Amino acid sequence: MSLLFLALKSLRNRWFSAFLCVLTIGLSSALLLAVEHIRASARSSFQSTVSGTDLIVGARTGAVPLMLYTVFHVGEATNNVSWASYQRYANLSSVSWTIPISLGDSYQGFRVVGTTDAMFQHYRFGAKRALEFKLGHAFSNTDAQAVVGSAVAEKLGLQLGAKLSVSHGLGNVGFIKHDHAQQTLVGVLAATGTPVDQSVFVNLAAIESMHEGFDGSARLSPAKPESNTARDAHEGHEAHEGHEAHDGDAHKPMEAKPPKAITAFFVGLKVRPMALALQRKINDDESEPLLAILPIATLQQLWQLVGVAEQALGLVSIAVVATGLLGMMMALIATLEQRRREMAILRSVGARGHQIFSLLLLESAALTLAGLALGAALITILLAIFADQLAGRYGLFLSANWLSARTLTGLGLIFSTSVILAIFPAAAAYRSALADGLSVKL
Amino acid sequence: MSAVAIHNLQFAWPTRPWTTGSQTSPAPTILKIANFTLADGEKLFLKGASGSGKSTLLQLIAGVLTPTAGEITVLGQAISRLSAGKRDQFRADHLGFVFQLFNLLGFLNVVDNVLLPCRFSKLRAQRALTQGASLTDAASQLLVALGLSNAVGLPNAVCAQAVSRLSVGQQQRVALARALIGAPGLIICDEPTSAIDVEHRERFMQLLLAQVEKSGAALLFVSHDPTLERYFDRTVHLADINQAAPFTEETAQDLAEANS
Repeated sequence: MSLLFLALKSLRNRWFSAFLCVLTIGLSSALLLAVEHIRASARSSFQSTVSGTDLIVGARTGAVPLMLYTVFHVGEATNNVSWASYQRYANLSSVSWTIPISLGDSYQGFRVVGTTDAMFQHYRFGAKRALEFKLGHAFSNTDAQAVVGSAVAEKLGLQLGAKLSVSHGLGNVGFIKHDHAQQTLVGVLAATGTPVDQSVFVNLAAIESMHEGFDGSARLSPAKPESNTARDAHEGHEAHEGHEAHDGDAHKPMEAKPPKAITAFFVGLKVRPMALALQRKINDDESEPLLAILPIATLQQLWQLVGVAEQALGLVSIAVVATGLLGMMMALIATLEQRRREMAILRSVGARGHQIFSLLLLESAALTLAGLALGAALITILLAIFADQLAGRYGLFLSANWLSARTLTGLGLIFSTSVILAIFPAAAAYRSALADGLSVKL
Repeated sequence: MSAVAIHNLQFAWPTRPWTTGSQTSPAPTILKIANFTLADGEKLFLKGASGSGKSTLLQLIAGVLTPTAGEITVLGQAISRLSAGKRDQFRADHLGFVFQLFNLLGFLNVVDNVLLPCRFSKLRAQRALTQGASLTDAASQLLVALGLSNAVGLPNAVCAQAVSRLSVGQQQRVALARALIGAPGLIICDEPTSAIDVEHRERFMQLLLAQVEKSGAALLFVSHDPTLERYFDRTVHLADINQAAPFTEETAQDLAEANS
């Protein structure tokens, strides 16, 4: 108690150097906490990009590419899943729900996802959160309607009722505009922090019908001059099987015409442990080369690719903290020479060698604790100020609560490291105090 | 029982195995004292030139150093036989020091400086509580008795005063209050007046002797200033009792360097 009193009084007397030490440790520990919190949040938001889905099934490719184009909308499918195969699995008794998706179109640079209203019922992200509507409602499975993610609505300034002309292909300009098949915007989703925000959802049937429109354009669509060129261009995309021509009328009820193929589908099972068995069954399907992946496993695989940057960030922040602690140790060592008289006085009133040693340790511990408290305060304040902006701008959802086993371990490690480092100045003070005795000859 | 009793004391700086590059001769003996006694309640003036081993002798009595040979008994306790920790505790409990300069901790106020020994000795704290209603009160009473309240205002103002604002003479009186708090049995003063100007020296000596007398402690006062002899019961010349070879400033420095 007495030693703590002396340590604190002594620090107060050297308040400026103590303040700088606290500031250094505070800033560096705040950096460490921020990096760890952002890393953990990015990881969890990344890993919860899709949740509640037991299997994702697409044409045979790599697990990571399938995940990338179905969930992250990065890259393109090279092949499709036939409608028949989809139906066969969708109707299995063990399957609770499926969401078919058809990719390959874009609207003003945003990916268009052809799907059904099952998307809004069954798709889950984060902690099993369903998609919520900020405005409007889901599209019906029969009408030429669209739902857009929050970022799309915000960036393009879309209002409900807007007419969207979907382009074929993924460029911003689009190769072709399916102007003949405009989609009416009926819903805007709430922000999710996932690629859903960047997506335009339209009816699966609508996608089929607008591509049909090209082939029958001369007859069925309003005769527009560009539709012929559009058709020519469209015919160049042979790989895009899902969009292959169907005979028929675009203005007929769409559910009458099931698509020939889709890009992929999400599967939810009635009994979760069945996932592995079904995955094997799908992967062994001899009628069509398909690939089923477990989203969680593949997300982890993907994160490992990102992990190098994560580790680099972590290392940098650890180095910063180490610099802060070394700085504090140097500040303590630098004052020792001036403090030899102080130590001699303490010795004369009966302070033992180990008490001199403890005094220095206590000072270091007090400085570190104050620094850690400052760091914790800083990170809390910064989170309160910037969490919303980060969520809005980068889709990075940071919870206000940065406390976790890892951050607490980090704080504990900083503290114990500083106490361990303080052994050096403490031992130096101990030795010089014993050597000096009661009289210091400076 | 005597306050200090020394028998056949010898002291040489211990040679450390890792510093004896040239294993020529063992370190010279600095102190060799056959007999020295300071009686209970006695006020003794120990006279010696600088470098004569005064400080070393004080550190031996204080238990900061241990003798190479012989025995030192302080207040009936053979401190040379105690462990280092016990010696430190003994010093905290029973000894009060006033040094030449820089007695006080700059980061503590006057009262906290005075109460410093009570932080390391329960015994001193308990005894101080018999002197005043509280520790602060005990300290204030001592400060008033030493004439400090006149210099810096009311006792309350003294408590909060930063020691750096005091004159050297006032600082020495605060140091004296610290040495006296909790009534230790032996007060050791090492040239306490050499930094004080002559007019104030007289007053300091009077206060010192009056307070020591009041507490009943023995006083070991070390100085090279012969004009102070008159205040004391007895004077001892260190050169007379120290049978070791005369020691000069130069050899002290050589030794210090050899040992650093």
